[in-house]
Amino acid sequence: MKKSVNRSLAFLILLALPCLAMAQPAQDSLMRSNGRIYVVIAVLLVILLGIFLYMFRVEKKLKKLEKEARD
Amino acid sequence: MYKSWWKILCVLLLIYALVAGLLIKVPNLPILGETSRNLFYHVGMWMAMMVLFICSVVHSIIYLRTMNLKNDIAAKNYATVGIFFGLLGYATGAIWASYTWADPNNPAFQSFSAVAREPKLIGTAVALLIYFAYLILRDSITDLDKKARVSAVYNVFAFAMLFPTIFIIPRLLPSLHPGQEGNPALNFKDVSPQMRMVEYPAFIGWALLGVWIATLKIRINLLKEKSLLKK
Repeated sequence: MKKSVNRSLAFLILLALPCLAMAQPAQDSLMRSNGRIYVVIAVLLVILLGIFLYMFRVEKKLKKLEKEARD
Repeated sequence: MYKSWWKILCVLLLIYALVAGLLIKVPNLPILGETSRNLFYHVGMWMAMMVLFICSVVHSIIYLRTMNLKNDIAAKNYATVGIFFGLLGYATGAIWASYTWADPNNPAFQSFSAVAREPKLIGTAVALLIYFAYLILRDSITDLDKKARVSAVYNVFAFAMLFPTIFIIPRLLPSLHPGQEGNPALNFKDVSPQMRMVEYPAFIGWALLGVWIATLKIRINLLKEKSLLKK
């Protein structure tokens, strides 16, 4: 039960992300330079990091199962 | 599920999507600039999510017809990975939006409340929460067969709710999000032909990656429930 409460809270925080992203200063040179190509880089980084973190979580599950099979 | 040709295809398509997606010339639009390359990545997340949710609902229906617990496990894992891709699409959309249509420097942008009222954001949040409730519902029932049956029925309804929340309602309301009058990204008038050459392979690649991750999870889950499935 506690796990599912924690999970729901994390999920709600993730859905509130756009609000955080938009609370930014009106002027910053890096993200808007070179035709805003850094926005694409940021998007790619988020996707890759997200997928890698997810794969680590899947592997953790597998490790637990392997340990159970050994015992 | 166990063949590897489509995994190799997935890797090749995604390598193509990354390399060609960053190298081709994109039309230089006023606010978008180079960020229209995000079409291959941000929209790809949503395509992967849709494919995974379709797989999930198909397995739920097969479960209801055959009562085979394997299909229930498949439906659950497809839905979980689908939610994950939905969250990635949401997060990448937040980044893209905050430098384009929701940008404080953009004259079309009025205030923060205009963004908070954005029907696309609210619609996808509702759709993802409905799917998240599917996982919570599964956790709350202990009896295995009952859990599988109730959640399979819920999954069919959740899939039906996807259409009003992410396709119909956002198109009826005024929105800053592009693609208001048709299918964003699939519309032939919006996307230049060179971009379409990368777009479709990228979408297929992301969808295959999602299915790949989901099948790995299903296989782990099947091993875990081996003792139950033997009966």
